[in-house]
Amino acid sequence: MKRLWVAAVLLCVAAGLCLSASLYQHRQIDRMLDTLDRLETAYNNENTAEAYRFAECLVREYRAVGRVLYCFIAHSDLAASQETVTLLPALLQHGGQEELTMEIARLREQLLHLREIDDPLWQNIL
Amino acid sequence: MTISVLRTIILYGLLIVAMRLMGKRQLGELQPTELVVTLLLSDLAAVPMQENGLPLLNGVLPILVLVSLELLISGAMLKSPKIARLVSGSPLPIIQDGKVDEGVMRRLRISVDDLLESLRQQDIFDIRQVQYAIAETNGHISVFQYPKTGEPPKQMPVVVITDGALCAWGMQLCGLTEEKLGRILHKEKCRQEDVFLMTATKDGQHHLLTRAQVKGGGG
Repeated sequence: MKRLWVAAVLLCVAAGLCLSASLYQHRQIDRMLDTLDRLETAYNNENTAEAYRFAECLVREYRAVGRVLYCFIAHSDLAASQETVTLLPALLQHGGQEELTMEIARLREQLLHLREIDDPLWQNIL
Repeated sequence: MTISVLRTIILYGLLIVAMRLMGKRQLGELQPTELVVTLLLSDLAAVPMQENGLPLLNGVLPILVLVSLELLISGAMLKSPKIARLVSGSPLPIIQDGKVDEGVMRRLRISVDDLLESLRQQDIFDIRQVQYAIAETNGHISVFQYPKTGEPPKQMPVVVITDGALCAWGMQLCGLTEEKLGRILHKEKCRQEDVFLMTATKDGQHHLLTRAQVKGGGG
């Protein structure tokens, strides 16, 4: 009987961990997507200084969130988006408009992919 | 490299805890579900040991979930003989009263060589000595021999009720019908639900153990 209780507790802990990880992932990535949108809006309004501020903010956010995400997402899945985020401030200072637009679009896709990577969707399960 | 070593230590400790939780000491006595879990556990533990790019939780959580499911299923099997039969199957008699049942052997995909090998491993070199040979759910073949010269004749006691539930294969083996069983229980002034264990032989002998007679039993 004791073992059954241990089993039930373990399953609840596993379910709780999965749920909280998923909620954390969604919330943090939504926050980063929001920051990315603001960065893009600021850049499109030719407010480069503000866009740069948002880019730095994004880098800081990613670093803080990444420490937790690395605990339950494969490092290879996070590596690509981390590179893109790190590139943004440099592109804003020295890069061209086309290149920046491409990288913003790429980062948005990568973040959206990261957001869904652990969701219990059929395409993920199968 | 340090990470691999640390992960190995963590996963090794976790596997030991998992095996202790499951409660089996000898690999040879594993039921099918336990064998599956044991095989899966080793694979699950090996991947994060070698792949530092994978989160440790990706190995730890599945291990914990597997162990929990195994404990829950074994608990369910204890409560419900139907679930036990569904998950582990039932013992099947390969030899009954000295006669080999080829149909059962085909069903179990056991060849004559496999059967003879199992008998030899139990120091039985003459199949004529075997009165009953039963293939257990863990693959082992149990043997009941004919009495040796000079010994009184004996019949193999077979389980007909276990934990209040009828055991169909046992009743079939000793030729007991539900009606006959009902009469025996009525004579013993005992209900089927109150029986912890009942064995019977083909020649009509039986032995009854009620829950009240068992240490720690209810009733």
